[in-house]
Amino acid sequence: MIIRVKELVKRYGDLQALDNLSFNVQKGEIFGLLGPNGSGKTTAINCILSLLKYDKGEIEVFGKPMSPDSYSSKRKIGVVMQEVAVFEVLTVRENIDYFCGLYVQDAERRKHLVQEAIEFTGLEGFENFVPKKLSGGLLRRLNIACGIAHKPELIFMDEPTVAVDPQSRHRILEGICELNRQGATIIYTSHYMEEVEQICSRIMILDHGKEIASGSKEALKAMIDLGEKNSFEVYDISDEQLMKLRNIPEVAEVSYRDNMLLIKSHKGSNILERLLSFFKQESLPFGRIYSEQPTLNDVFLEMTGRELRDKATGQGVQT
Amino acid sequence: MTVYKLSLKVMKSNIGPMTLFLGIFIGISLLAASSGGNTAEQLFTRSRVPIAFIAEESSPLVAGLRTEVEKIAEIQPYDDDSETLQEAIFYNRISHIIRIPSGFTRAFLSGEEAEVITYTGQSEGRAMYVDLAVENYLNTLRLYRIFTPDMPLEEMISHVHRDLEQSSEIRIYTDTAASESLTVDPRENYFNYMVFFNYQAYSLFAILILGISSNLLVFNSRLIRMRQVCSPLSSRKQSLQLFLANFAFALFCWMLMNGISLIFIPELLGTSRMYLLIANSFFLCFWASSISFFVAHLTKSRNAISAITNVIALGTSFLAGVFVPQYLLGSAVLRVASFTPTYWFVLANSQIAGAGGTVRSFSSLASQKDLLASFGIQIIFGLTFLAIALVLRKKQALAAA
Repeated sequence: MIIRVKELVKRYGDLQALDNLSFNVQKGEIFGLLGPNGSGKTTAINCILSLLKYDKGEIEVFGKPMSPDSYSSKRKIGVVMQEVAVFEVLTVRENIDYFCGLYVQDAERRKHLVQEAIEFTGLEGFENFVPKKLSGGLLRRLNIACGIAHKPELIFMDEPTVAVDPQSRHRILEGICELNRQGATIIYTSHYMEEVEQICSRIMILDHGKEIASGSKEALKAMIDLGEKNSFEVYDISDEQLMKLRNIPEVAEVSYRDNMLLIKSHKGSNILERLLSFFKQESLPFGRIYSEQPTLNDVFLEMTGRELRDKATGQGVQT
Repeated sequence: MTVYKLSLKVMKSNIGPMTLFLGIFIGISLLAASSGGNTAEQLFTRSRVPIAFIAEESSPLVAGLRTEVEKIAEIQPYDDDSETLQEAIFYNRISHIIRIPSGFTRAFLSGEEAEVITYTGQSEGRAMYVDLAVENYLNTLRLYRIFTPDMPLEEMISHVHRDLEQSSEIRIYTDTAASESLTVDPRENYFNYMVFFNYQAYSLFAILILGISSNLLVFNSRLIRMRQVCSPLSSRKQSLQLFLANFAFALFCWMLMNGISLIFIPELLGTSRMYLLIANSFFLCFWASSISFFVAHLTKSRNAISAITNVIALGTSFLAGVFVPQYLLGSAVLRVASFTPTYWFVLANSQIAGAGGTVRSFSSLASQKDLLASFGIQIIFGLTFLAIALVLRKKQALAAA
């Protein structure tokens, strides 16, 4: 076991940021912390890294209690902050070299590691650029390179893909999986459920500092009653027809908005064929059809009654 | 020494503005030192007063008097014409007329009342000086007449000339720095150097606050601090490396300032107290670095740096007697100033520069003790601020998240 967190409590005045949070992280995992803004993801990470004092609980990293003076443990940890933390006056290579130098004293080995980190994050050709000359995506990659150049065994990644272009995001996620394949254990926080689903082997959903659920994505989805979701592009449908749809036993929920008819089914039900028969029987014309499995957002919605992501902006909310 | 090296690198990136500031501050110090040359001794110089000397008779006594007066006055060649003389005195071409009436020598030697007739123009003050010389001559001659009545007149006059040649040096001794600066050995004018070194309390202090604050602003960013706290390099080691790098910058500025002072004030080289002034300047370099290191941890933005520099460097300089000599400052001000290291730096400079003329010679044990106390207090200030800065840095590192 790499990390053991037991009954962690952190309060900011009257606000309970972490409420008896407990979890373990095994060696070789990509452990995802998923939750909306203010759910306590970053607070939990900061407590584990001893950046924050906590009110109650126990934290062990590499089998030893974690404290600000746990330098032997810190040597094996890499951190990629939510915000880009680099020196504006240094070039890309100098930044990576400096942060790597805090862990690795041997100049020759460090030179090799820096070059590897540059290649790993795809920053070749930008080595002599200062940060302000880099795009947002390249800055994020530099931020990651600074955190992982010393080849840590345990890497904390706190929302590393926020405000990143799709190309850079894809590259970053690929990189994380590659780091994991090379043996690193990764703690990954995000509000992008697709990312968490894509890369994490185990996920913990947080809300208001509490664990809502944890397990593999399949296990999480199995916890809810929701089955597949079918969407039909329909331009005209009567209330009577909607009522008939709701009366189908396998249908859990029907909603119609902006010419899109969304039909959610109960777990284990495959009703697409049945629905197509219904449309034919009712002579109801339709356009495009989408069918999808439940997402982690559905898990969160069913467990908390709230959306994981901010629908108005289409953007994930930050924690 | 990763942090140390990076800190020096950041310093290098600020080298342009820092060089500009350094040049300006060194220039100010040198200007101050050159304008500080008007010491008390140079302020009061003897000038020769233009007078007319009209003798209605000729005798060795009158010739002797003329010789004596000539030592302090410029005798103008005027004839005994009352109209011309009145015009000359009216238009201030002469300040004074000395008239030796006929029969003066006989009257003086016979012990009768012998009077030198004098006319004074508007410059009565200058005339008094001439009158005093006349009186000195006659009174001294009168003494010889009384006590050595058998001595020939010519011999008496030569004795009087010799006696009046004698002069006494008058020194005023008090315990204040003021008297010390007034009684500088004219062959080694430490007053100028003292002004130059005193100005370092402003110039070096200001450049260090600017440089060190700008440097630490980069390291004190919350995100950078968080990243550094996560590293296995202890907070104490990071802080010490940072201080060492900033102290290296301070030493560079200190060496540059003192090196330039030796180029522009070459007479300082090899003087007896040069080493002490430079040692005192080194202590300034130390405590100014510590205070700047401390202040840098309270500085949040680049805009605040210049404001803080002005408040601290200028404020303490005014308070502690860098621009205005300490003897002109009130005792209440000096009491407050004694809580700043600048006061002890300026005081030590005075003790070094003016010590040669004090009652307690510099070589005396008491004077050495005073100087050592001034040095010691500066070191204590430096160590205290450094300790506070290190504690503050550790607290800030832990509060980064």
